[in-house]
Amino acid sequence: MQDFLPQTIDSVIAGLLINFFEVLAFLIGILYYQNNKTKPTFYLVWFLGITVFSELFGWYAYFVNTGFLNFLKGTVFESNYWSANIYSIVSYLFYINYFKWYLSTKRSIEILNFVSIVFFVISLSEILFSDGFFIRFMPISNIIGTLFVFLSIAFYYLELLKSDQILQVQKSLPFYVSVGALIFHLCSTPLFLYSSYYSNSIDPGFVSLYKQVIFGSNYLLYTIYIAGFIICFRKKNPYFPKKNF
Amino acid sequence: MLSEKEPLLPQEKLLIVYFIAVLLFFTIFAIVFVIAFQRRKNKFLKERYEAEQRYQRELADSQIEIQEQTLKNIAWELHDNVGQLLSVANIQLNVLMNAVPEIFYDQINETKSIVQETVQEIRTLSKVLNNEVVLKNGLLASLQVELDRFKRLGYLDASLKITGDIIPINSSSEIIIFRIIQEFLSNVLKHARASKLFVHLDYKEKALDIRAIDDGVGFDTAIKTDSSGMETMSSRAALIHADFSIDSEIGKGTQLFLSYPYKTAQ
Repeated sequence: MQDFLPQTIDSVIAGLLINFFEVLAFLIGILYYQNNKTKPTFYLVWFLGITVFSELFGWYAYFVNTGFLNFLKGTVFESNYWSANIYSIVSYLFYINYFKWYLSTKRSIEILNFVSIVFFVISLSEILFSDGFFIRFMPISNIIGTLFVFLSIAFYYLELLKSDQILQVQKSLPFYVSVGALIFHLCSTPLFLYSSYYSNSIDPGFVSLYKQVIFGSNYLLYTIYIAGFIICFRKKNPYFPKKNF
Repeated sequence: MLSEKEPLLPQEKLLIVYFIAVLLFFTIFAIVFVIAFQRRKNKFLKERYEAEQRYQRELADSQIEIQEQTLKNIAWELHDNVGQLLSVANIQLNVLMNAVPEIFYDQINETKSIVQETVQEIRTLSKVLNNEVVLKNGLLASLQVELDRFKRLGYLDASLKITGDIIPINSSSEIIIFRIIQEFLSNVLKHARASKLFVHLDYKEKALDIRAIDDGVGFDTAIKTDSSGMETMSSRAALIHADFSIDSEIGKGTQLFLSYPYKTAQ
């Protein structure tokens, strides 16, 4: 998720590297899905696909400054915040609902359904009633989204604790997803709040901090996903290679 | 120093809100998690303890079962085989007494009384052994075992019927009830030449009614016999404040009726 305007050549390279990780996670996810066709995995792979698409689409802003798209300069589409904001709503909704598949308590599922609706309404009204949709990340949506993702993951962890699955936790994909999502969202949200300060002309020190944290948490996120896919891939049915569930 | 005079940026306020919210969530989650963990652990420990208990109980049960079986077999063997052999020995001694000079009478009588004492001892012993069985098994199970044994040994076709909600009876009364029924059953085996036996336990609200019916030769209740069976039964019934009666007619089988009130017995 490097949804900002790359300004120097090293941030272009760093951004491309993140894209590479994303594509890698997506491809390994597809391979994993071939082997383990479950509904949550299906949605996870789809979500990774949407991520890749959104990130690659975000590069158009690079060409607004430097290339063939400079006719967009001066319009609201000058930067890619609008697409990133839409993507982030999808992303939060995905993470809130992904862990529902692994819950057995009806009440938690109902709470998460309710929370998804609340989140959707809040972010929609933030888009409509705040003027930042095209120029920065949406702060309230980010905060609330992060807290709700946290809530969803907390339910998942409690569920893990209650079931015997916890004995095999290192072999379960949602656990890796939860770790990645939790770290990423908790680390990146404070910086997203200050996204409007992401400019060398205002504070170069902040820009470098921002880059380090956002790039670092992105690398961590996708490394954890890839590791999770590979680890869970390996344990799949060494004795019953044909069996799927 | 400067910023103290200026209002905070909206982002700064949001950041504060964010951190407070995240920390609050973390704290709540940590507490809930610890509580859930604690519960889970307690549940696990309890389950383990219960499993341990269950295992111990089953072990004890199977030990008791084996013991009972052994004791019961021994009791039966003693009562039937050894007791029978000794009775034969007694008869032989009687025969011998008529064939030998009088001077040996004392010695033979002494031997006879020793044999009789031995028979008595063996009877008591076998009953003591059985007593344990009744205590451990409970009335219904013991009764069932007994009736099944009759069936298995081919003596007669015995059946047990239980109606009403089973109410636990204290074990000492249980043994007495079982003894009464057992006495009746052994009399049926010995004298009645019955082919069918029906035992019915009816758990009523205030009393346990027991009815045992055979289709044997029956006997005349008016005639007093020297066998102590009837007396033993009725005195035992009195011990537990139970109503006891035996009805029989020659050729029409015998019927035992026993009504045991739950309350009056201690």
